[in-house]
Amino acid sequence: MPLMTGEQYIESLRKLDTKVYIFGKEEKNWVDHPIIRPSINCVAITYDLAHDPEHEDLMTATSNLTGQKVNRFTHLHQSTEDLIKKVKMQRLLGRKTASCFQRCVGMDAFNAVYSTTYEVDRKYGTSYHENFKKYLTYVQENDLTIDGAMTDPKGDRGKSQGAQADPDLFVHIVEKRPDGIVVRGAKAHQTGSINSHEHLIMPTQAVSEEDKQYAVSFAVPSDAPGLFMIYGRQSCDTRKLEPGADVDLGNKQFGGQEALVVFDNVFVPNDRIFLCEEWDFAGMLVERFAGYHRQSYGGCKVGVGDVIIGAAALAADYNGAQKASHVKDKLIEMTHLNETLYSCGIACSCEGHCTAAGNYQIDLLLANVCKQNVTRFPYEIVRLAEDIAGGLMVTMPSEIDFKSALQIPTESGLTLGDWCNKFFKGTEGVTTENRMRILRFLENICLGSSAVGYRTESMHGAGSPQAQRIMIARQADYETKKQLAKDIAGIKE
Amino acid sequence: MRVGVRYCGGCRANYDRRAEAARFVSRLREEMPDAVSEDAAPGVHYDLLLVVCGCRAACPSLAGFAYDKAIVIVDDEGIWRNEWVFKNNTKAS
Ligand SMILES: Cc1cc2nc3c(=O)[nH]c(=O)nc-3n(C[C@H](O)[C@H](O)[C@H](O)COP(=O)(O)OP(=O)(O)OC[C@H]3O[C@@H](n4cnc5c(N)ncnc54)[C@H](O)[C@@H]3O)c2cc1C
Repeated sequence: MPLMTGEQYIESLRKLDTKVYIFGKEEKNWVDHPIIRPSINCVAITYDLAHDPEHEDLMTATSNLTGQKVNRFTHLHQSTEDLIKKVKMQRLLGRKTASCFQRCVGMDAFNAVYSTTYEVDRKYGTSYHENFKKYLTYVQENDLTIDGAMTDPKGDRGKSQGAQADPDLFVHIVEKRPDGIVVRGAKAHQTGSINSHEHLIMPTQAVSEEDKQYAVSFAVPSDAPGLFMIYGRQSCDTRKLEPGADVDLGNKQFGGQEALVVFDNVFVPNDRIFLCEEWDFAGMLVERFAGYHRQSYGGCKVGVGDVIIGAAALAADYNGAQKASHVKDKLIEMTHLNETLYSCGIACSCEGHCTAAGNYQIDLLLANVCKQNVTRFPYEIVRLAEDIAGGLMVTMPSEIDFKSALQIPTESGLTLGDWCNKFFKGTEGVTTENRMRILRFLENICLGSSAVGYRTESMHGAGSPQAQRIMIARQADYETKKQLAKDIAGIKE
Repeated sequence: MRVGVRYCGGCRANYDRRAEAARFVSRLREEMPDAVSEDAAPGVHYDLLLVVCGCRAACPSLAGFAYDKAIVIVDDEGIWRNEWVFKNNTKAS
């Protein structure tokens, strides 16, 4: 089954025995849980569009491992063209879902682990690269969704892994056996983890020799014994539990998801191990994954940005302000910011290069510049969207009130719904419901559950702003630039 | 005449590519009534491959597609200029 459909993907999740905890209890039927389901729908569309002739050029690729057509989310980039198409695919999906579609972390992890294991093997004579190729072939042939899991809870940020009061604050090896290893710890903020068939684990930061038990990379099924997940709640998430909720959700069909993934002594067989105490390669793996993931944001957030710009323009159409010059200018500014992010995503892809393993890596400096901009521009885009939307996006009555037939005992004898519709009418010819819908969409993306993906994920996902500044500083090459200045200014020393 | 329709991935297409392809094929039928179109599949030979792109980057891969002639459409005015006409398996980008 090289390419699953969305429906087949959803059914495949039901076959897993993934342990999910939400609101204090284990949820057995998490696939149909109203809070979780929109995030599953979002992953499902990455499957459906791969079958759509109008999108398959971006959604699929030819595997270098099997020669078969595979979903691009399981592909190893073979050229700069592949890197560009990755960003375009992400923009497309952002436009279709206005959410985080969760499959990027896995794709970015595949590409980072593939090239890093090759280099680990070259130095240490290990067989991690072969292990990984075998694993990825399995992933491609079964069209799986994989959580690329990097971030540990980290405890005291001022201390290294081994210096933490609790050794489990970073995932580490607790036992080495002839047939594999046993690991312990947790991964925090894991995007789409519940919706993933498997987890591909990487270290969160560089590791020193004395902490080498923390230099570990491996893959396990999401329902491996000892593994469980605690759902990360989102702003306004319980609106999804309201009977018949629709308009008030802003985005009924799609959403993102993060969870804490706990490893309570999980066994990993030898052929699923991709790094085991080779501490000097942990930094390389982190840097490569982060590079790819910082590129990703130049696609996905741009697609979501497109929808936000459209929603802001509609809000202006609906309240009659669309011809005001400042409104037009704000839409221009939003577009400028959004396309700047896209330019960065495309640029770091065009300037990509081949790794020793043969897959393609983005330009690290440009990818870090891309993500640094992503930590800022979406905030400005939602600020402008809120400006254009007006205060109603956060003050209007509920959908139930708009539809209510409750008679208000005043002179006019109008219903609750009548009063709402009367006072929240915008321009002629636009229904109050449509106006509500677009304002609720903006509320959701600016400060509701989708703000997790559009705002805070833009800030911290793929690393907080300072992490990019460190990478930018490392690659800024000030000495060459000083020499350029000296040459022009006629300084000879 | 067998016409295969190949779409770009549509990352930011600003027109309905499927509708435009249908319009093109119906115009073509006025002159070539035997023209039949389908979504292009790799390995099938087409007399004409219609490459429908959302923008002028015209980035879809034509690897694996077999055709005598390809015409690239890049907007809803059905622009298909001579320089975008490709011969036998040349790439669209
Ligand atoms: C919505 C969302 C989705 C995510 N998805 C994934 C995912 O799928 N997979 C994954 O692996 N990770 C994921 N992440 C995690 C992301 O990579 C981290 O949030 C990020 O690396 C920052 O870590 P933190 O959240 O623990 O912040 P913290 O480490 O608590 O950082 C808070 C602040 O402290 C500063 N700081 C922290 N440590 C230091 C230090 N040592 N020195 C100086 N300053 C420091 C930071 O720069 C920042 O300003 C996701 C995050 C979010 C918000």
